[in-house]
Amino acid sequence: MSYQNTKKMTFRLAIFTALWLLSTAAATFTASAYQDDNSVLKISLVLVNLIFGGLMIEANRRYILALDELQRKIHLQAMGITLGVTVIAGLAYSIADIGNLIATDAEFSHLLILMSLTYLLSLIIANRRYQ
Amino acid sequence: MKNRLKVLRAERDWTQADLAEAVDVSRQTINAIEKDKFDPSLPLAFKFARLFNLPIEEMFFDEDDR
Repeated sequence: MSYQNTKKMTFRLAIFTALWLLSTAAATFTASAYQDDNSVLKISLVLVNLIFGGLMIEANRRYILALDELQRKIHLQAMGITLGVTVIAGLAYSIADIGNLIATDAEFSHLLILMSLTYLLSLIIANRRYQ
Repeated sequence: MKNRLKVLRAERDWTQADLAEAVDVSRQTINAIEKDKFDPSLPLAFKFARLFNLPIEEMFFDEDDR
């Protein structure tokens, strides 16, 4: 895939990420706000969320393919670091929760925040390295 | 690996952006190659060779070979 497509693919990824985030917010709000039986609406919103999630994954795959070889290397390094940090920190977090070493329950959202920050920081450091 | 990309580009009065567009990569990649921070793949090296009409070994070389 040509590098000239990168802008287009970045835009597509941004659109599908925004749609996935909005559908996640809508599904989460509906699931927590309507405790009484409203299964059809809840299931529909979860399905919409899954569809946008799938489209976001495909947009991300195409985005990676549209990058040039240095940018792919930078993203590959960031993905490797993020995977390692997430697995190691996630397991330690889980063990700390099992052993009641932390005050609250281990939340998946905390892991997502750690993943996002690790990926972002890794990208910034790698980009600076190749400047 | 060392290269003569910066010299070859300057001889033609091209900017990094011009060269990047000609070989379909980002300006950041051209900059990293010129500063010997990143070695291009063989397909990209062939693109440079075609563009400058030079054999690859006259553009890229190992530091020990000089």
